[in-house]
Amino acid sequence: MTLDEFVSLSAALTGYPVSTLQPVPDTQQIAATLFAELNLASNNIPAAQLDELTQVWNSISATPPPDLPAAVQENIIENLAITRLAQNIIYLWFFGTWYDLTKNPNSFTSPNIDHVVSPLAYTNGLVWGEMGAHPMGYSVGEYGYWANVPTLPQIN
Amino acid sequence: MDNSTKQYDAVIVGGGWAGSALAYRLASANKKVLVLEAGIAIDGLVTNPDENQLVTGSRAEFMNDFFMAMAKTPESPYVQNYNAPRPAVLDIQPIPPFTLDNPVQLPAGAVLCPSAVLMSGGAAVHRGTGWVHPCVCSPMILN
Repeated sequence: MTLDEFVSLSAALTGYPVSTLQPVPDTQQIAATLFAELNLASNNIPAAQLDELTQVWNSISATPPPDLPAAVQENIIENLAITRLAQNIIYLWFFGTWYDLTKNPNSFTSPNIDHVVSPLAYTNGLVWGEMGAHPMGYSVGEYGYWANVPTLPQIN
Repeated sequence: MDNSTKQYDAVIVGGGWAGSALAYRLASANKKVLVLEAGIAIDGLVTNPDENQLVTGSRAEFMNDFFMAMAKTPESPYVQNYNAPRPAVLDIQPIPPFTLDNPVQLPAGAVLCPSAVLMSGGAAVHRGTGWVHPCVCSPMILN
């Protein structure tokens, strides 16, 4: 999977446009930072799984935008061989966190290789804007912003 | 001047909320006070967990540690201080069944209350969690 493929796939999985995930100029380099997780040996991603996700995405990426969500649902989300990896890409963007692929997602069993990718990946997680909030200890709000009603993004 | 010959009216061990307030009151009454404090300081000295050496920590570094922690607790930004170990919320464990053959061993300084073990220390460092008192129904103990 290339960085461009990763960003376009991420846009389809998260619902956010490429211009949000990889803005120009890209000062924070979040896309590249998250993409590196897919190539991190310690994350133990089966090569066949990553290849299949790449091939499936390339086979549906040209789908007209109105039909794309259904194509993603049918070919990726409902494909048990790659749906967990696709979920992890969504987690990367929303939480800046990589979750152990081999772990039972409903278990807190340790040890595992769950980890936050980087402080920037965490504070730039999509979840914060999604819920009209900001990470603990990190805010770009002006003084007194906490008195305002939180605003939610257009995507909702 | 030889420090060993200094005389104090009071020596306070621990410069937390209580120790600081007490030192202020005593000093206000013209008493000579020495405060001994082993804890870490923001933008000051912290204990390096690997080499047990004093290193400088900035607020940005503390925040990066917090962002990188999978379980974000009040203690996450701060490395453990081996000069003055403190309890953390993740140290909480169930109290083992009490029998005459196996009495519950409490850590030094710990206080048992109906739902939790309270341990003092570190309250001023990380905003009041020095007393770990989980809101749970089952009995808990700090390991």
